[in-house]
Amino acid sequence: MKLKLLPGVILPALLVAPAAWACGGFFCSATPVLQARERVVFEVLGDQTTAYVQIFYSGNDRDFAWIVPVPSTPEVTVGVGDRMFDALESQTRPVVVSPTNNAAIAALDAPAGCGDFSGGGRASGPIVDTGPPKLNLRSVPRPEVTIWQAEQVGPYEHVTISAERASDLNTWLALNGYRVQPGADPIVQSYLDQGMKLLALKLRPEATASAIEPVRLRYQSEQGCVLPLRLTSIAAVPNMEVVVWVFGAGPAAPVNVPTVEVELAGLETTAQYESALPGAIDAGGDGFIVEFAQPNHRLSGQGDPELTDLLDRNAYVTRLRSFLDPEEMTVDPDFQVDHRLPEVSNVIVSGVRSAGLSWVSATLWLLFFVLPSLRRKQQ
Amino acid sequence: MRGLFLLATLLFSGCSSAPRIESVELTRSNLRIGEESFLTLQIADDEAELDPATARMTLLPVFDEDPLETEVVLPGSSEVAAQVIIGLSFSGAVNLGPRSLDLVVIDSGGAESEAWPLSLTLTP
Repeated sequence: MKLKLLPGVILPALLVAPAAWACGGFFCSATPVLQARERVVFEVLGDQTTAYVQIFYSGNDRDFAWIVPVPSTPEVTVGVGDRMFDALESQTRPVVVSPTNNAAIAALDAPAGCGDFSGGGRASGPIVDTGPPKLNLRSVPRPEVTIWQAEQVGPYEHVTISAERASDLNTWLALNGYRVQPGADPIVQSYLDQGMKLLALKLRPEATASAIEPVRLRYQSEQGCVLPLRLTSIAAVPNMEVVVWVFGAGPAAPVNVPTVEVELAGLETTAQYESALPGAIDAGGDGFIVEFAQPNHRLSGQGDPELTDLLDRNAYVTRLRSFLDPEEMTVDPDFQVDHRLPEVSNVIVSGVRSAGLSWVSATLWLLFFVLPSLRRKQQ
Repeated sequence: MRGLFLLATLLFSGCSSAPRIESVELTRSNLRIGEESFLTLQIADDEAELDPATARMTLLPVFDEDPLETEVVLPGSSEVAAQVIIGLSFSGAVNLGPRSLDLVVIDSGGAESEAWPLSLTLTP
């Protein structure tokens, strides 16, 4: 009897095993530099927001430059490491359990490879200009900018800068070795008009490509968790995956873009769920899917001190995900904690994602309902 | 001897009227078609002030390409030396790969500086 129950006992252990990430191929020599994926962890404590950002891009690593609007001069630090993101990913990613489908159970144990999370996005080919060849020169006035902060942190050098005119700011950045994408002026200007500053970050000249690591930004903000996707649109791959975790006193959801629902009925494998996501997001108005919203005690720090501290300081974590084309990045999603929001489990059993369904309840469900039912059928 | 002195003075004064390019910094030597790079140009003249000048840039031809040449008016300065910024970009069907350019500064009197060679690589 005990032996017959063993598969049900082992299953949760397999499900929560850390996923093996092998996505190291972001540094190809192709140009242009494009953001291939974005993973951000937000924590809001009072008027202080902390954003942990893991940067993925494709392109020439020496051209790497990351520019993000910030409401105030941020404290920029490194040393977060990829492990925190991987631990969150492995514990909150959606898993479809179909007890009658052995292939689905086997898939639960499969590591999350790049294919699962690339979103199918590929940089589009260069647009070849076939017009008459032309050399263009223009006299550029000396840019008038305010430098709020210029520092070196780990492998990066960064500057926090503001200006009246985006053209001044972008010229200053270009003159100082930050690669600014053509067409950024109107979007940068809209941030400047809101009184925001820009944080620009690039690799130090002596740093190697392997030194790319997540950054932690801490800043004063009354806005909370706003993801500056409009600026991302300047240089993003099509169908770019965006994953956001929000730590707070309760579940979180976007307040200015739709919360997208996925039709779960009929889904039997995690792969089917992943395939259904992009279409659901397009149909749902390019919003975000809440894939996990649970009390933090259901997660473990998995040995990462930063994640352990986040779990200790906050009551809930919410995972939200979207796939967006650059032209769909027209709004900066604002994620806010709301105690009235339901809990959401990442475990989908037979097409049902019920609030509060955890690994423990999923296991109990398998043990007491599914396996006995299968045994009865076999008899 | 006196004639030689006069000749040297004349030559010297003739040279001194031409602007000089003292340095050029290019922000990006790998440039995509349509992307702008910036040149920070330090120019000087021995005259008391630098009148508005013209910068002429020539993309030297490769294969059967015609040379591309463009000019831009630079702001004047009350100083004998000035730092100016020029935005440089390419459009259309320009031959890609390593390319050479010459930069010349021409003052309001038509005197030309020596050509300053530049190299960059054009990519799609």
